[in-house]
Amino acid sequence: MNWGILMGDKNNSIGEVASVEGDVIEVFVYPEKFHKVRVGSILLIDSEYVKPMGVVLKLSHSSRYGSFTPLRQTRSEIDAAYPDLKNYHKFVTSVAYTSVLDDETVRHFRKSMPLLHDLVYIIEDEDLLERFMKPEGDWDFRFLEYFVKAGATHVEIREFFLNHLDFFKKRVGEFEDIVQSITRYLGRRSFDALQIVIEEFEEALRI
Amino acid sequence: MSGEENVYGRFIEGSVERGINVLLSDSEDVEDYPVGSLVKIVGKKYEFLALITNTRVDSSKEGIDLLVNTNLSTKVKELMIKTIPSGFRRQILEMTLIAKKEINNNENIGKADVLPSFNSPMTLLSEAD
Repeated sequence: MNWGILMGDKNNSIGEVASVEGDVIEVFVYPEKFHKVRVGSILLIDSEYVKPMGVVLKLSHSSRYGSFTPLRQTRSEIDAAYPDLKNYHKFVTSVAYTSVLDDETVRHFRKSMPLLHDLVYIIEDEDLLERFMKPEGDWDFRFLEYFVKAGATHVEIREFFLNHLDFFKKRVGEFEDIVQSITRYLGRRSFDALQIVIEEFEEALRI
Repeated sequence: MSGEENVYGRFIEGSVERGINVLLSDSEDVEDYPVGSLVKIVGKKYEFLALITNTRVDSSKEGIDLLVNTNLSTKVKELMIKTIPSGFRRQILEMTLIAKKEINNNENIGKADVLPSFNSPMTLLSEAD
């Protein structure tokens, strides 16, 4: 998999940019793709002049028109009775803008903002995840600084690790390098929960 | 003054009368600096001869929290300290300024009556010194 293949098919997209403000990009997620997106997921936006990347900070799901009526039915009953109900709902994810894809290389700093309706893709492929976390070949968790700045606490960081647990477990031999990179970038800004993050990462790898 | 590899610390605070404090570089170990050693501080106009009178380690809150944290393995704690030593502790050398001389002028040596500039590097004495 490479970035071009991922963005080459618009059917791979999971949603589109709904608003942009400061450190956070709101993405309208297509209802049928909502289950794929988790706190900690890494997203890539295919914008014309910039390819922003970020980490999911928050998910929300609400009625598009602001009202809610209890149905007292199971999910299968609801789907059968109202097959287009999801079209009246809003599935939104808030993404911390942390990085850009620049000439096929991920760089953990930000450039210009995407535009509304730019298509958004989720990074699930291991090669692409590795190129996000090891852009120059070495572990680089600098993006966590932007994640924290946008509001992530140790809870969201834990979910980032747990939601990529299979990826990290295959790289358990690089544990020391990973711990050093997390320490370097979160410790530098005196992130209060650095030790909790490392504890939880160490514990997660034992699961 | 040659390259940064010969810089072992930096002058951070103090006074001519009470003495000065030098923050040791992260790569240095306070155990290598016994009280009574002579070192050199290289200012902008003067080089200073200084005598180490005391050494100490100041732990940050994060450093103390790390040491008492029973959930982290010793190996991980050591890794974290190795990665950003100054995030957990600072190694300070306390010194008295003994003498100064103008840079590139070995004739004009006198009592240290001025302080080195902030951030002046500390280096070891050479045979020529």
